[in-house]
Amino acid sequence: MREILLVKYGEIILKGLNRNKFEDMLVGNIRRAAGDEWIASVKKSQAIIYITPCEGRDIDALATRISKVFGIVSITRAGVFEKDMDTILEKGSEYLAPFMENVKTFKVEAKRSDKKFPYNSPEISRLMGGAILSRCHRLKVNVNAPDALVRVEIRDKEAYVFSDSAVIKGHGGMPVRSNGRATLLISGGIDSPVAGYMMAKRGVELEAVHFTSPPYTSELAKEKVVNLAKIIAQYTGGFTMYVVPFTEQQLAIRDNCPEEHLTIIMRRMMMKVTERIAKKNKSMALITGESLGQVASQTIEALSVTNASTEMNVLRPLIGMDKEEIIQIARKIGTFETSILPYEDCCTVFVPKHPTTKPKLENILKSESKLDMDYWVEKALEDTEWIRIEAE
Amino acid sequence: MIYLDNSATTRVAPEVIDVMTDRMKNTWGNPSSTHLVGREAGKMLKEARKKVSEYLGVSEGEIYFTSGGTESDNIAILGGANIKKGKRIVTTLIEHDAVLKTMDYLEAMGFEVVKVAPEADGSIDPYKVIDAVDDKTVLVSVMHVNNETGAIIDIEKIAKGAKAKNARVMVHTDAVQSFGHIETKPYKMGVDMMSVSSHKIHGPKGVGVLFIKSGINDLKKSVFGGGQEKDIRPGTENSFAIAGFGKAVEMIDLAENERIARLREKMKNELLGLGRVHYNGCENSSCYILNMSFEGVRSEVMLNALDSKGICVSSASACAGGKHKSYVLAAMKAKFADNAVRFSFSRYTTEEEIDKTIDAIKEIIRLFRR
Repeated sequence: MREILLVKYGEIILKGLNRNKFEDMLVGNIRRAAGDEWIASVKKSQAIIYITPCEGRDIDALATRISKVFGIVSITRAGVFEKDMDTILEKGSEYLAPFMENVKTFKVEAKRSDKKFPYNSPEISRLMGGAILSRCHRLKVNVNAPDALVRVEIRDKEAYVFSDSAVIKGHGGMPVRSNGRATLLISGGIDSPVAGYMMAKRGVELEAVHFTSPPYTSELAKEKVVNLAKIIAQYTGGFTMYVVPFTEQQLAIRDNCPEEHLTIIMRRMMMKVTERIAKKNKSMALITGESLGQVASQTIEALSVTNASTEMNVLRPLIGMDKEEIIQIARKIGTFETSILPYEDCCTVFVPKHPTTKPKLENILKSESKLDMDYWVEKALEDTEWIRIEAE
Repeated sequence: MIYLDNSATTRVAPEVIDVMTDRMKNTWGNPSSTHLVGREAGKMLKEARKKVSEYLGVSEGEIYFTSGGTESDNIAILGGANIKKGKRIVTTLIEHDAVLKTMDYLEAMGFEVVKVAPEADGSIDPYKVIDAVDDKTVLVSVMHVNNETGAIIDIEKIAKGAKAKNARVMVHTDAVQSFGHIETKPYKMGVDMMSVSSHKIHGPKGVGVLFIKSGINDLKKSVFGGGQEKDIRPGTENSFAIAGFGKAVEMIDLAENERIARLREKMKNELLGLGRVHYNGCENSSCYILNMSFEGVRSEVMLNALDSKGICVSSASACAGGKHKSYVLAAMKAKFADNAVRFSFSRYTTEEEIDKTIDAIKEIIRLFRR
């Protein structure tokens, strides 16, 4: 018996005339995530994508490979049968049995797109229900609120049998690349990987920028960020991460600017560097993991001052979230364990004892004027290297 | 690449690799099997056991192969801690975690564990250990050489004094950092049990030895299985690694110490000469370990900066990893514990490497000292 995967997608069906384009993007992303030699064919029909695996591929392994693709609401395993009623009842109920182990009640819904099939939908439903009951005696039918909804679909060439108790939930959202490109400022912390995930989930194609401060930060700290990026890439597919050595800049800020302004000036400089990298790559916005009030540099005053360093749109998906909510997402997407590894990151290297929490732009600009900002931004760009990140 | 982190692990000697690859190809049997293939492997094990026992000056029957220093320490301490004989155990604050965490466990099980603090120079006063022994004491466990400062502890004096106060007390020493570097003869030292490890002396990882003096047959068991190593450490022996360990022991050359001591002295003096540099340690120290603090440069900054120049050193022990501060230096109340760096040497360390490292440190201090 053959099996296929039925992929349901959510929000993109609302996209009217663009729907085809969105669907094609989703299919492309699914193929990319699965890898070559996993998918034999893909068909779209009535808001469902039908995926036939290549010969010899494990169906659950394929489902796992594509389960992190944004845009997918659910993935269901389905058995494919010859269009013969006896075969469908006999083999179909046998196929369903293992999926019914943890349910008590069920209901069958049938659909036939082939109207020449000798049984109509209510008849198919009734017969299939009987076949299941005679195989699994402890099950009961419940048409109003069944634990499992079993479906039989009679298509042009074959019949599909599946149960929603065999469903894997997807991450939802919209296909990556359907909503432009943006540049994520990624540190080694908990927040920024979550911010990247959330924007990618809305269809944004990511690229990332990471600042290092050797020897104040270690090689392991950089590897940690690479590993975080690789986890994000499981959802988004591969992307580029720019690594900016920032030690000299931080020392220059430390040596020239008032101590209480160190962090905010550093962040402004980071935004300027990132903006330049973003513009070069035709990225349309910056993404940060800032959450209002979390630390001194994320008060509403500090955010305004940081914001004024760039003319680009800054997306802050975590702005209204509590730390606990952010941690929950980090755990769900698998970045938390890596984020909490204890390596110093460049934001915590030179921390003022009493950072200003209500900075005024004019004061910060005055402090900043003691630095050759343009020189240091140029220098950072010159020293920047890039790494290609692929899912692991 | 310059490798000065030999207290964490050493490079495997090429001669050891040759022995191991040959044995993996030709002597892969289970040493417990009675057939031809098994007997060959059994012979190989016996050969290695003989080399270790000869080096330690003990009989072959007193050598138990384990998976390394940690397991040796665990088996020895859990084995010696017999609550029916007494509930007090004496150790020090500067032991390896393999000892300290086993002690924590025993404490939770109802033992009274006394941890003797080091002197300001990292040494352990033998009399403070002896003083802590009473008639309820069942076990004394003190390391021979401290892994962070290199301090040599007078185990002979401790063992003698402890047994004079209470003849029934058992004495264990963790000799992982002294084995192969200074003389470690259990009988001369008067200890009942001694832990050693292979990978600190250019042997493979995953193998070590626990010496248990003959006549001791009431150790409490902590590992259960198929009876290997007289049921003290059951489990199929890591036979290739044991053969490699045997080769590594055969290659130990204490005459090398003179050269190492000279390099250490040179490095210590030149670094002290840089100013605002401090020596963490005592006079009677292993010549393989040198612990220095660089005022104004945090340990991890020095480590990362040396790393970027291809020079491998460490701060606290490698097992502590990441960000942990050294509890050894904390116990010494060292003033510049946050600035400490450990250099540890091996027979492969050259004078040129020491010179290059000193030059690199000079430059790092110039750039990053505050």
